[in-house]
Amino acid sequence: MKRISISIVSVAMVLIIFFPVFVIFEWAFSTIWYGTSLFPTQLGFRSFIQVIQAGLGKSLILSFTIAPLVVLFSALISIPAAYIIGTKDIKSKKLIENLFLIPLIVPPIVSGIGILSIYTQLGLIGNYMAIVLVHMIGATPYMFRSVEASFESIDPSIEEAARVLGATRLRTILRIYLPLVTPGLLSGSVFAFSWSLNEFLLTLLLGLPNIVTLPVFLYRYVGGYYISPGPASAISVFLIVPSLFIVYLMEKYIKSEYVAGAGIKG
Amino acid sequence: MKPKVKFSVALLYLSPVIIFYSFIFVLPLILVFLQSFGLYSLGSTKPPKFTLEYYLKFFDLKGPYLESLWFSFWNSALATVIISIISFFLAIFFYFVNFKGKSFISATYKIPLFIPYLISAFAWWNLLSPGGYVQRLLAAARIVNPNMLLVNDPNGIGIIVANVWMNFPYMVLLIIGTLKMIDPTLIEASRTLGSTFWKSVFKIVLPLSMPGFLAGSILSFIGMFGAFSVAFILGASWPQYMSISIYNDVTQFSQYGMASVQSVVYMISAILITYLYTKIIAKIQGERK
Repeated sequence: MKRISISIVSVAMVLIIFFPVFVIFEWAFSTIWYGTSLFPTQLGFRSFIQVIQAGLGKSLILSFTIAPLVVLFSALISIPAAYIIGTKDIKSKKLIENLFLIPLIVPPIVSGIGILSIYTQLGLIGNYMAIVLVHMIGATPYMFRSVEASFESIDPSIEEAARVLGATRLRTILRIYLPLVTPGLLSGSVFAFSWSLNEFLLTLLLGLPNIVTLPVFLYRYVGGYYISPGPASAISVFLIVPSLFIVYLMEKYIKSEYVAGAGIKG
Repeated sequence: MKPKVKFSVALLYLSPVIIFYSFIFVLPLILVFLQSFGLYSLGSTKPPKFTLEYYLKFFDLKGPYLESLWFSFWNSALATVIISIISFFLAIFFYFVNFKGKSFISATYKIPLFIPYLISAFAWWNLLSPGGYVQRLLAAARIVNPNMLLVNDPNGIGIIVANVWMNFPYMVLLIIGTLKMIDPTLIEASRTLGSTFWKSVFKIVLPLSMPGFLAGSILSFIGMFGAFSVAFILGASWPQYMSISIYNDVTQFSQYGMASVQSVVYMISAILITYLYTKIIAKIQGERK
């Protein structure tokens, strides 16, 4: 009985997770697929060639250079905040922690149309760095949460010891704290990175015509009144493969508790 | 004991984040708020003038806007309930059952977390649209009428299915997180005292894992309530998710005033729902203690 239910749950899980992904691969590598046929009639690379000619390379470069910048900048602004809130006893700590959740609660379209006004007037529509900033809105709360959780778990007397022994505050942060918060920083980075890779709406609203990241590029083939599954799937492959790689890295190096901890505490 | 620090010192450390969010987040929201009252307008040559016109239009019971808001609400709420039930049983499964290949299965279910929303939505469009595998299977099994639309349908079935697929892993992770904090001897004790496995699950594990459960459900709900991509690909032309309605007003019709009112109400609903939910939960849990 137990054996059977384990098999059923496992098989169902694998099917439900992998089947949608599998169908994307099927579409990506098919050149001809007649409506009634269960499988592609002819396999080939036509969809890939089509999207490469349509400018896939540029989108790949944009997506994979914006994401690291988002990680870097959101880490830079989160670390001081996470340090002071995680290791010190300050007033309104709970309130500040909750304020960090607001960017995740407010629907992105809402801030999006406000930013549209500002960017239009400043002439920042389609600006590379302006898009990095916009991606940071959603990435920073994740970064902050997981770095703060790491800081929180450190014994506060460690800083005291370092300071008594003559280390400056900067040195304490760099040499004592930074190595200890690396796990939190890593899981925060994973989340910030995948947030940026994922971000679609604000990039679409504020990035066109210059900033066509992978999701916006994909939108060309799935948005509007028609969907062309072939090219759309070919682009999806370029986003799914890194995602699977990230899951693999996470499973190998980061405890899943950190993943959960990044989202919410209490 | 953590050392006390003056609030002003803390502000110094918080200043990068505060400055960032003031410009990129708070200021835009203020502009949207002003725009909803006609006090500011993008691309308009008319002088700004206070008006409640847009709000009256929004709250018109015969208008499309309240229906959009309601649709976004019930659709996400239904998905949240489904996610909660599935995730609870999966979390129980992963927590209590050990088997060969468990690490593979528990890596598998996290995959949707890292697949971009747009792609998840598109993948389910592939499966559920007429001629897609799932639609054909269901039609062959006579569960659905072959002509019934499972995507771009007025009930938002496609949206719910994709949302469940994308959001359950996060919920499972959160529930497992709280399960790990339960003292295992409690469950052992209840089993030794003769209760069945499922009885101890519902009487002991469920109440004790409530915090993760409740936090997870509001997070999933808010994410789906404000989401754009899934409804964009899988939604019908009517009823629309509020986010789609705002997007269309801005990009197709240049109705900035109307878009702003919808945004203000949308945002306030999201914040209010989260606030009330956490308050009610805190109260219920306080009473239990």
